[in-house]
Amino acid sequence: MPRFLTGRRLATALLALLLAMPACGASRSDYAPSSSSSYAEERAPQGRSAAYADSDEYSPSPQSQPAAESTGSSSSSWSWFSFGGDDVEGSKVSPDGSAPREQAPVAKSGGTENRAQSGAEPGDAAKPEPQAPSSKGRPLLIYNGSLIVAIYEVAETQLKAIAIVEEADGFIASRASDRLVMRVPAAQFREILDRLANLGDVIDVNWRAQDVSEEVRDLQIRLQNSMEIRNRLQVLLARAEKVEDALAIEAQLERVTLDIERIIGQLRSFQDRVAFSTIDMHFRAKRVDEIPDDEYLLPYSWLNGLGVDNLLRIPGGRR
Amino acid sequence: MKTFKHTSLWAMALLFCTLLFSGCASFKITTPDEMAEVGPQDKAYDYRALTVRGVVLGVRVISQGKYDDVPRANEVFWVDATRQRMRTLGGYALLSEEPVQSANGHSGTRLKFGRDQRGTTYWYWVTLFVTEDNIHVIDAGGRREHFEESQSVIEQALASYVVRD
Repeated sequence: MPRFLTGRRLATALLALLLAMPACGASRSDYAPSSSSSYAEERAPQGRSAAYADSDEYSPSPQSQPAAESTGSSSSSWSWFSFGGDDVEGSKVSPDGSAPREQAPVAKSGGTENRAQSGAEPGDAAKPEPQAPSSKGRPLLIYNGSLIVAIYEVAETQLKAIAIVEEADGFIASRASDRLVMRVPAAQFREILDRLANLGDVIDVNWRAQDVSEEVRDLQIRLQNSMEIRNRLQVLLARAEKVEDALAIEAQLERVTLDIERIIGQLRSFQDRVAFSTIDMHFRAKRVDEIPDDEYLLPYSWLNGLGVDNLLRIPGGRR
Repeated sequence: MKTFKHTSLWAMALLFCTLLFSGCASFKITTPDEMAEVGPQDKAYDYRALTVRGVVLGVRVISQGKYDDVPRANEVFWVDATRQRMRTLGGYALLSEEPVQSANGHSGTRLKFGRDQRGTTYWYWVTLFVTEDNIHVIDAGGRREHFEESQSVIEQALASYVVRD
């Protein structure tokens, strides 16, 4: 242990390191998405844990961190968490199997952007447009869709919907008598939505794609920075001679490790939601207060007399 | 005085008959043997009959242009209004839609809906005949399994429907 790292100098070095924390690591412009294999492939149900197979490289615990990385060469220690930007834009993740349709608008804006299609058929989406070249890779999109289906043969329809989803290697997130929440591979989102819409009399279809590229990029940069800091702290810890110095470094290590775990949790959540789209299928009538403003409510009172309820309510009859 | 009393009685009788026949003259339907007509206490419908299993057939004749909320419109409009109301607000699934003819050859449309309610599946048919002055709304409904059993009876009653105005 070099003598210059002992006592006050060690404390000063630690302080300097802590002050430098927000500034160190890769800047946003340094970031380039990893071109690893498709995340959709990795997260395919038959290998649902495969996405984390590479994660064996990573271990949040300082004890298991390879010594070589502890020297500060943390360049690849976080890259396993890449969403595979190039692959996300490919046909595997695009809902209709042809990416350009969804991604062209985002390529133009280049920023975080939510796009909604309300009340439109999925097939009505914009025509494919030429892709604007982007050095940042194509966007990471989370697809969410919802269907409102008329209440008719709900149980049978739900079983058919479950069969469609499971056939596509998706899964059921929750099921109630009037609702079915399904997670489907993003690559098949549109196809499955169309198939589900054919199961019954669909009153409303609503779906949206949320671009989370910026959030993921920020998280990856934060993860890289935190891991570099952790590596430096580990170096300092190994060199610490005084107990109080070691305790101070360990406290910082613990904090940084918690940060890393939290960031990884967020990235995993994004990974999951990018790979598996959510389709929420409701079996119900639209309530009046849910009708969009542009949907005209016919003012003809005799229409209110229609329906089984009125027809079967016979004077003197007991139901 | 006696003559005036007689005249008044005749006038009242004439008025009663006019009202009576004006209310019944716009359609005619034959109640099948398997159904029974609901009595005159039924104010909501111009005619209603039911089977012993609770499949109900109802007729309402609504005057066009007489009320503010019943403007004059053609069959396409009212069929579309009915379809939209049942699907968007009623939550009914449109199972099929077909052109029909009344017993006297008047063209109309039949919408067949389905809906689950309290765990039971119901069928609900609405047949519309639109004339210059009236909208004839003939609806039939009940539990699906009962409706299926009585479908021929319902169809028989619907086939007997005569649009008079």
